[in-house]
Amino acid sequence: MTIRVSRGFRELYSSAEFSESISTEWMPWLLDGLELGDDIVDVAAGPGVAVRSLRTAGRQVTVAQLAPEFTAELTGLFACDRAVGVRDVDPTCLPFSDGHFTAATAVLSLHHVPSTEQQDRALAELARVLRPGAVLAGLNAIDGPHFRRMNDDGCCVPIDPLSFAERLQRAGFIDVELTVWSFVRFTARVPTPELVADQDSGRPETKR
Amino acid sequence: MNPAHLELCSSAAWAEHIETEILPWVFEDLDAPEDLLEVGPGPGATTNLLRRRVRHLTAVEYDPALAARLAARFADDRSVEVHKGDATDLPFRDGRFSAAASFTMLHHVPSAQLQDRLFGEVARVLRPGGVFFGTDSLDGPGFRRLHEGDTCVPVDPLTLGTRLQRAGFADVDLAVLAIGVRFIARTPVA
Repeated sequence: MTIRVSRGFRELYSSAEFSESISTEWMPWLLDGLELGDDIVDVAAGPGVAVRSLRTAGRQVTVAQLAPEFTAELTGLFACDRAVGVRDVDPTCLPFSDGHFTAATAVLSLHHVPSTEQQDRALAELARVLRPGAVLAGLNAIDGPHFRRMNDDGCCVPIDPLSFAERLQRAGFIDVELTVWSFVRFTARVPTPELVADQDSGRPETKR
Repeated sequence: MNPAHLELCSSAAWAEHIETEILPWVFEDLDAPEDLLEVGPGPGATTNLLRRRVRHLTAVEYDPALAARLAARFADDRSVEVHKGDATDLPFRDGRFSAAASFTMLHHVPSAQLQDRLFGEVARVLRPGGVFFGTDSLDGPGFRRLHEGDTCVPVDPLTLGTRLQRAGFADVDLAVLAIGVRFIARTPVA
């Protein structure tokens, strides 16, 4: 799968105003109260607007880039930073081992995966590469007139917030929380083995 | 409403947004009703457009100054009737209307409890099989800046369906776009 980013979205992601709003308004809202740990994967489709907010001392950030057209620039940007690595990936077949990461983020990237089925496979792949109990957190853009204008080549598939919790659960996540603002904030966890055992033995979940 | 917000809701740009984006979104899945109750029209941007699509429109506005302005604005239109009133305690008998609408006003009702009471009142004044439809804005940083100093209790799209059902609606259809949450809900058929 090769994902290309439409001109409209490319211009948006590259604008200084947009980066500023992501860094100062949206990333603090997303990351508030989350423990991401020291080895995270950030699913990006663009110039990596989230990376600066995710990069903190002692943490390795692997940018899983969906749109190869941005890889060279992003790699150059972090060439001197050994804690940031950039890899081109197919989101439906991530090149990482099971349970590798302490957290995953996806900031305005999932809608670039070009079908609902592939998006669901990407979510299942993220569940696979996370450690037990680890969190997936992200922001989704919402469909609407603005989204449609930017999706000028029609390759993006917007994510309906009303069915997204169920899709995350089907992909293997628990503790799904969604907040619908002008972007949708989502957090979800992969179960720990104890919780899976509890569920298998038919005991009620303590938390949903 | 703070002055900047009231100005926005009275502006030509807002009227155009209602006409080109909000109403077409609603009416792509709903036939225009004959006899409509509109709760919370504010300065009347929606009223002015809805009155052309319906045979009769009854508007209920809580703010006395806005209600008076609205009555004056539509004084020459015999298909529009304006009441100063409280949407959580509507001055109409049970089953009076076949349809009711509210556009971008629910967040001005100052608590979730009062919003729920409004839903219950709308369900009461609708006849069996009547439809309640409309939109509200989504919460967010820009939305909060606009409402600084205002009464503002945003409606969570993820719980709105359950709230409408609890208020007595049977058939609830929700959709979310960046321009807001849309609801089309029907009272049970007898």
